[in-house]
Amino acid sequence: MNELSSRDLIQLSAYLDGELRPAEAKRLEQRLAEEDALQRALEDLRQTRALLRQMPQRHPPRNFTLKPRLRGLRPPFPRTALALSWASLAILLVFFIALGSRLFGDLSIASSSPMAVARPMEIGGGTEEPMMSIQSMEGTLTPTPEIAYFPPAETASPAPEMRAMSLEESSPVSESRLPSWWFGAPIVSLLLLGIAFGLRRAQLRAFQRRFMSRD
Amino acid sequence: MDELSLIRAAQQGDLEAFNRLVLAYQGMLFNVALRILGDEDLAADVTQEAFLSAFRGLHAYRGGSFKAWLLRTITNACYDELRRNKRRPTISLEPETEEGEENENAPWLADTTSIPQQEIEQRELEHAIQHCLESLPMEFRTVVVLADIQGLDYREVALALRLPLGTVKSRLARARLRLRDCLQGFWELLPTAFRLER
Repeated sequence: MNELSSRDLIQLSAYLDGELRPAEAKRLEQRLAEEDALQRALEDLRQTRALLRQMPQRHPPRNFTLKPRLRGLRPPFPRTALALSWASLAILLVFFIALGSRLFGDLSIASSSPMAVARPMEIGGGTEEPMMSIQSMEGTLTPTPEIAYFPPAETASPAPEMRAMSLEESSPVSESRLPSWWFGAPIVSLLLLGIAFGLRRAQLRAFQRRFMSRD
Repeated sequence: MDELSLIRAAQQGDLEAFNRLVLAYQGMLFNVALRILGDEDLAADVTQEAFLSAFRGLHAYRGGSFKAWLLRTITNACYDELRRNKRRPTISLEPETEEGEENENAPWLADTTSIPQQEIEQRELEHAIQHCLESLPMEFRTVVVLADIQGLDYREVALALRLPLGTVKSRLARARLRLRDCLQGFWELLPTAFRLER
């Protein structure tokens, strides 16, 4: 019977249950009259079905009727689970906002600042250097490579405060960067959500045990 | 009161009407759960859970076969239970445990001195069939339980499981083939009339 094609097997099984269309049934009957293997396979299926059909129906061990006090009663959402769910949502929200602002920050730098395009390593890896440059500007007014990059017309004449401002505007990368640990936020969020879900589920089970009849 | 009136009343919050539906269907739902899960206590808990879930979700019932709707509820509850207890230990039908020791919990080792021989054989056969059912993938098991053990026709099975008719046909045929192969391992337990060709 294992050599039967999938189509033959399905057709024989459906034929046994009277679920074949008349034309299909007629074609199959013609083949059954000629092919012993098909005939044997049909008999095997018939016997298997007969065995299954004689499985006894068991009496339920109790009635599953619901108690009247169940009507309209729903367990309140556990406070802890609620708090965890909100915390989880808040973490995710903040994470995506921060991620979005960083991405858009990067994009705007890439499109508007030639420095960012020329020195991608600083955007990706250097976290402290731009800030240090600004600090050093404020303190000693020592020129840095960034300052040297600006056209002379802009860097030569303005007051020191103005120069610091232009530096801050030209290097937003340092401010929009996320600390590496922050990328664990979605995992923490999912963890909290999982705990909240577990608490709710445990509470529902306890609720069912309490309000369901056992007669 | 007919079934539709009971359903309408239950949808309005009439628990007594719902309980009359429970009494009408509890045997079928319990047996479906029993054959899918293979454990009486678990089947009872899942059946209770399914009725509670059905009562709560009755507003979502929009007509059609109520039996199919309830069967969908119980099969979903069984799926959930199986997923939860995927690693739940089960009693093996093999004569030895995994450690090679004799399995003292095997059904055929129970004290059967006071039970007539015919009943013993019937029980052993039932255990063998249940064992083979549990060896089937869940999607095959559900179809064969509904069609061959509960006697539903293909359309009812398709409706209950939200499957196309062709899928029901195909799964049932494959399930029967696998069961046939599995039952060959219990040749001695099969009644003479049902002994499958080796």
